[in-house]
Parts: sequence; structure tokens; C-alpha cells
Amino acid sequence: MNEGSLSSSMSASSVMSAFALFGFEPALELDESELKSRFEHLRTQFHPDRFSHGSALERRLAMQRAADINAAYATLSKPLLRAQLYFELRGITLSEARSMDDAAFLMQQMELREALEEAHDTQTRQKLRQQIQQLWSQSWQALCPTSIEAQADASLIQRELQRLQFLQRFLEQMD
Amino acid sequence: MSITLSEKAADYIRDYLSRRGKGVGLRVGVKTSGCSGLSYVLEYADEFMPNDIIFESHGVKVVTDPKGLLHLDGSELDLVREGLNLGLKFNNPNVKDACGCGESFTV
Amino acid sequence: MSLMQIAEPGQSLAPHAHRLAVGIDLGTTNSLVASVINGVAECIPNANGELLLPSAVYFAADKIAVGSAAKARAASDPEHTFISIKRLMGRGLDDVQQMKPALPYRFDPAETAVPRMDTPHGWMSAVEISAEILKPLKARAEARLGGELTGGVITVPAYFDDAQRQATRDAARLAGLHVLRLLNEPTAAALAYGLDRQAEGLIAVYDLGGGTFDISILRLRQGVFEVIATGGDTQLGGDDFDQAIALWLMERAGLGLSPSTPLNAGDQRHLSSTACALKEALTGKEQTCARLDLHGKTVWTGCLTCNDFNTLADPLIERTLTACAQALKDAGIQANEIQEVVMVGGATRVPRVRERVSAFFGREVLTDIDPDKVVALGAALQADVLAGNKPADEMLLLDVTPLSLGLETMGGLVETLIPRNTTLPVARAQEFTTFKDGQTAMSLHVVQGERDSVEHNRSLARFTLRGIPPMVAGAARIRVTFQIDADGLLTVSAQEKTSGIHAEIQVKPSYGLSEESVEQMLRNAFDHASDDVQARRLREAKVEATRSLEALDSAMASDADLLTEIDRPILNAAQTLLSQAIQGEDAQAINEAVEQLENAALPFIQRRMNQAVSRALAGHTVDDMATQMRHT
Repeated sequence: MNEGSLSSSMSASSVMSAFALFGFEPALELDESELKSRFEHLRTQFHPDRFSHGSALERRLAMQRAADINAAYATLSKPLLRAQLYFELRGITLSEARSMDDAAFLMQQMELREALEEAHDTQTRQKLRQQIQQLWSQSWQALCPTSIEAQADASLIQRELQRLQFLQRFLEQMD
Repeated sequence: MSITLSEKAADYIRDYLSRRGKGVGLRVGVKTSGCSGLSYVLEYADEFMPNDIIFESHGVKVVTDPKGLLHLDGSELDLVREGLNLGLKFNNPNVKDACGCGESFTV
Repeated sequence: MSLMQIAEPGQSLAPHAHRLAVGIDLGTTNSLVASVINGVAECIPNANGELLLPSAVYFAADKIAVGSAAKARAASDPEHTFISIKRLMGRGLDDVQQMKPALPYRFDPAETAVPRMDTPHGWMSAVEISAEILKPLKARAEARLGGELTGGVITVPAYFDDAQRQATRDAARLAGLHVLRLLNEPTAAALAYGLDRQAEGLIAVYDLGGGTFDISILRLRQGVFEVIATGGDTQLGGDDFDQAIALWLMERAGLGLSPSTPLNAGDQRHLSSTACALKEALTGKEQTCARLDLHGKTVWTGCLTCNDFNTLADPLIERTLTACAQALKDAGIQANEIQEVVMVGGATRVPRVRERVSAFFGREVLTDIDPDKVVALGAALQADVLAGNKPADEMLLLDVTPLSLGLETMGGLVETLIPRNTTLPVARAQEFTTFKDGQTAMSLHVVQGERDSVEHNRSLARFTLRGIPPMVAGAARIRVTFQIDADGLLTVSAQEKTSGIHAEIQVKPSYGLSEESVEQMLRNAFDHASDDVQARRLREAKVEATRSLEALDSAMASDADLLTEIDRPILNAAQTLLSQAIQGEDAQAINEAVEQLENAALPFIQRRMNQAVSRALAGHTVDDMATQMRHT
């Protein structure tokens, strides 16, 4: 493992945000098919195999760029990660240390989890899933640009992002 | 006027044409480059062009253009084995001087 | 001269521009080399016309034999005849000593990370022994193609971990072969198969070799071969079928699992070969009969029926099917969505394997491609592209990482950083902080595998980050980036973010050779050979240096507007330095000058890459831009 590549790999990945890399203005909503087609195009164009006879530096940078493209897609294609990046670019981050002080929401989550444990038939689980998805949409709507401009409230955004995180985990566990 | 193949060369080319799965014959020619001025072109032919000159040698079609014929007329393409190495080689009477590697030449 | 090859229409290269490149299938049981000749991928035979080189190496006092000649010594001198050496690649002494059947070699007790075995030529590691297998393959290819090789693509089981891949790369280096790419075996097979038939859609490659099992699910679309999931077992292969039959024979012979007189190494080998012969003879028959001689007398005569064999084979096949089910699940598809099942590896000749795999996928498996050759052929096709003989536009491979990469956290648990089946190349950064005031160093332990606890995963490496500026606990922000390249190999880099200081990384691979040991082996190898290592070093350094200079020249010419006032003098100075170094005879000085030039050029080249991306996205000159980037 080469220590010489230490500095370069760091600066390379911090050059562009995932949005910029794909030529998008930062946004909460992205056209999914457009995202996918840009991704497929970029990853084909910048695949390391296409630089296999360039200089060592170009080969290394192409490798990093290809990795960046893959990573950017992984972020942009998932709504929660995309939203987190979007607000991070506006200076609002969700630090891990921040505790959840959203008592009502937590209570509701606990109830839903209990319901999940007791839900053994597909129909009940299906209903539960719909309920979670509805909560997801509510929080997502609250993050929409128009609502934010009205309030421009960092703590509200953090709260909704945190709720989405909980809901996301819930949905993943249901699968 | 002609460009010919040795019998062994013809068998070899026919074998590769069939394994490649397409192609109407072998295109030979010259292009300007290399250490001694001109270099050989040796390609599969997938179609014939308007100015093409076509010879048939041991059942394989050999295609060239007027420039190619000028420099290759009278040549025989032979299959040569050097140790394990097996490949094609031009025996070209027009060549005055060739670079050490045999891939380029002057006429 | 190298004799002429027939090119594809319009692709006759300038003289000398055709680069000789090969694909090598470095197998557990047999190895092969292939190349694209006259536009057609073909395996290259030795002087006797044999394609398969048995992966066996025999060390005699005065010489080293490879292939059939070595294999023939397995029974008479098992201690110095190395077979199935691939199983030892990237493994520690503990792993190797637990292998069944017990290996007949004498290991150096002092070396645990890279086990070394006793030979008349001194202690030898699996890496060096594998290099001996690669050498005659390389020589064979150079004789057939008529020149020195630019490089080769070497195949590895998709399920190989980082240490096993690194070991393979080191073996090639010792054999004097430049590695263009390590390619996963099932992906290579898919390539050979897919290009041959212009297949589209989802395919599964079931690869049961002598010592490893791989399953890969790929999506083929317009020349893009995208691996969507892979799985397998690096300790399961055709050899295990033989082993199962061998145990069955022992039982029938009344010797039980632990015979009163332990088998010597020669008897052990004889038992294995009898088992293997029985298995092969059974193909297409109801039963097959044989005699087993051990300790110099006949201990058993009898027959092995199909039913007996199936009972022995089923548990092993079951394990492969479990891996298939997992791969399908990872890919998010159902078995019936698979359009073709390609069978690779000698062990897929076993009728029972075909039968069970067909039943699992609900369709007839494809067996018309020679399962021995298909991997080498695919590797040759990829090598042809990577060497620059064929435009990359016609085919592109997108592969994935087979195993999750994680870090040890408190309590011996693993935090996954890069999940398995992530498309390569991939880079992930993770931030760490200090937990003590004034802490200047921190240790990290990188592991590979799917289990929650560290002890059940493969330890890849331990790193120590040093040079962290002293701060109060929790104030330092150390960003560590893990990158897995297209070969599946890991590199790690780190930076302390508040101060911008690059933390120094000390790498200690858990299993594998250090850079210094590889260097030492290279020196040793060349002490005994006529080839001059220094001369080759210098030649390689000059080639790479010239390539860097040319690439930068043309980049500066085509994107002068991206050069800043600061860039120019720095770049010019570095260019002059390198041009002067190339005139000299000091490979080390040339490499250092290349590094300086590349560091100087970094900001500029990155701006160009960024611009190329923006232009690619702007749509209009998309393909031109990437093409331009590639050619400069």
C-alpha cells in the first residue's frame, strides 16, 4: 500500500459533491431515470479500463473518479442519504451525538415496533408498512423547499431527518 | 498481376475466418508509417469496396486496393513457423529495404 | 520479428503497436494461457501440443520441474512435490496446518504469516511456487506470439479475499509478468461465453474448480458485463469429491478414519489418485470397480456405484447450492429469471453436479463450452482490450467486491464499511476521533467477511495512524479512506482534517508478503537467472516515464486554459528534471522524478477530469471528451 497516494486520494474525493458530479443542482427530488442514465453513462466513460494505457497518474485518478461516481450514485439514489447531503451542503448536519428528544414520535415508533412483532400474517404487515410509508411521506413533505423557506428552521429540518432515519431503519428491518 | 497465398497460408486464413464467424476474405494493403516508410495492412474483409481488386488463391479471396496492388504485386503471403511462433509473412519482390522487424519497408 | 497477425477491419495498428498480452488461468489443478491471435482468442499449447499445464511443481536438488513431470513425482517424493498450491495462497500457517487431508510438506515453524515449505532450494512460499507455474506459461506464450509480453490478465476465484489476490499479484511479479488486471474467474467465463454468442440478459456462472467454488450473477447488455452478485467458497472444490471418496475407500478397506498405521505421504497420494480415478471412471456408468493397494499390499477390491457416489457428493453440492441461493438473494432476483447457466471448471463434468444445478435453476445448464478453457479465453479477451489492441467501447466489465470490508470496533465487533457486492472501484471514508487528550496515534484493524465478530472474519491488516497533532480528546477528526480498486485490492489513506496533516500509515498485512520480502525474492531469483533485473527495471522505468511526459504534454497542449500561473513553472521544472533523469541509467532516480512530476501535475489533471465530467454530462460531445481524455 502506497503512502505516496495518501494526499491525492483525499483531495480527489472532496473536489465535487455527489450532485455536482452528476451535473445536478442540489435538490431533494431527482428524476430517478435521469439519475440512472447519467450514472450508467458516466461509469462507462470513466471506467478504469478505459484509461489502462494512460500515465500512472491518470490511471490512479480515473480509478478514484470511478469510485467517486459509484459512491455518488449510492448517495443520490437513496432519498434519505440524498436529503442528508442536500442539507449538509446548506450547513445543516445531523450529528450522531444528537439525541432524539422527539417524545411523541418515539412513543409512536415503540408502538409500531410492538405491532410489528405481533404482526404475523402478510396482510397485517402490509398494513403496517403502508402506515410507515405514510409517516415517511409526511416527514418528506415537511422538508420540501417551500415549507423550509417559510420556516428556515434548522432544528425542524434536523427533526424530520431524524424521523426519516428511524422510519428508514424500520422499513429495512421489515424486509 | 496477382497477390497469392501459399497453400498453408490459405488453410490457416480459412480456419481463422471460420472461427471468427464472419468475413468474405482477407484484405491486404499498405499504409504509410513505420521505420522504413510503408507498412503492411493485414485485415479481415467483411465487404468489398468499389475500387477493390479481388484475387482468389487456394479458395480464399484476397482483396486489395490499387495502391496496395502497386506495392504488393507479385507477393506471396506464406505461413511461417519459427519455433512455436506461427504467423503470416509477405514475400514481396518489390521491397528494396526493410526494417529489421519486417513490418515496414521501402519500395 | 513477430510474424503478422490478421487485424479486424480498419484496425491495423502502426508497426510495433500491437501489444502482446495474455490471459492466464492459474488454477488449483491445471493452468492455461491464452491470447487473442488473428482476432480470435485461443489457448496456447506447449511444444508437445498440450494446453493444460498441471499446477504441480517439483523441486529436485538440481532443477525445478513443472507440470506433468512434477505431477509424476507426487507419489514418490510427496514432500517436495507441490500440488493444489493455490489453496495455500494468502493463508497463514494456522489455516494451512488445519487443511484436510494433512499436507505432506515440512513448514518453517518460525514463519506464520506466509508459511514457507522445505525444498532442496530452501524455504519456499506458495507465492514463489505459483511463480514457477507462471514462468513456463509466460515462456510458452512469448514463443508463440514472437515477442516479449506487455502484460497479462490473471484470473482468480471471485471469492478470493484481499490477501489471496495480493499473493497472486506477487506471484506474477516474481515470474516477471506485468499484471494488467486480476479478473474474477466467473466473470472471465461470462465474457468468453457472452461475446461468443452476443448474449443479453441475466446469466449465472457456476464455477466449480479443483479447489474453489464461485457463483456469479451477471447482467449482459450491449457489451457491458455487469456482475450484480457473487458468492462462493474458497475451500470447496472437485478435490473435496475425491477426498470424500478417499474416506469412503478407507472405511470400506476397514481402515476407518484414523487407521492404526498412519498413512505415509506416498500412500496418501496413492489413495487420492485412486479416488480421483474412480470418480472420473464413473462418469456415464452405473458403477466402476478398482483395487486399492496400501502399505504395499492390496487392502480393498470393490466397486463404487452411482448411488454411493451421489450420497457422498450431495452434501458438497448442497453447499454450492446454498451459495447460489444467497447470490440470487443478493442480486434481488428469482432463480427462474436466469436465462442461462454457464458451467465452468473441471468438476462440473460430474453428471450429478449438472443434474442438481439444472434442477436448482429450473433449466438445462450450458455445457457445450469447454469448462477447462473458457476462463483463460475470457481473460485473453480482457487482456487484449487492456493492452490497447481493441477499443474498450466494445466491451466493459463491471465487477463487484465479493466480501464485506469492515473495521474492528469495541468488543471485537465488526462495523461494515463496504458491503459485499458493491460495484468496483469503490472508496469509502470514515471519520475517527481520539479518545484521550494528546493522543497522537491510533490503531485500526481491517477485516473481510460477513460475520458480526472479528474472530470469524479474515483479518486483512492492522494499521497504525501516527503523527496525529496532540489535541484534547475528541477534537481530532481523522478521515480514513478505504479504496478497493478494479483488481479487488485494498489501499488505505488517512488525513487529520482540522490540521490538514496526513497521518502516516504503517501497514502490516495479516497474511501476505511485505514489499521488502517481494523485493528480496526478486533479487534472489535473478541471482540465479541470466536475465538482468537491473536492466529490466531501468527499461520499465523509462517506458513509464516517457508515457507520463507524453501524457502531460498533450494534456497541457489541449487544455492550456486550465493551467494556472502557479502550475506552469512547477510543471516545467518537474518536466525538465524527468527528461534529464530519463537520459541517465538510474531507475530509482527516474521513478522519483515521475512521482514529482505527477504530484506537480495533480491539481491540473484533476481540473481536466472535472471538466471532462461536466462536458460528458452536457451531452453534446460526451463520447469525444472521454475519448480525448483517454488518448492524452
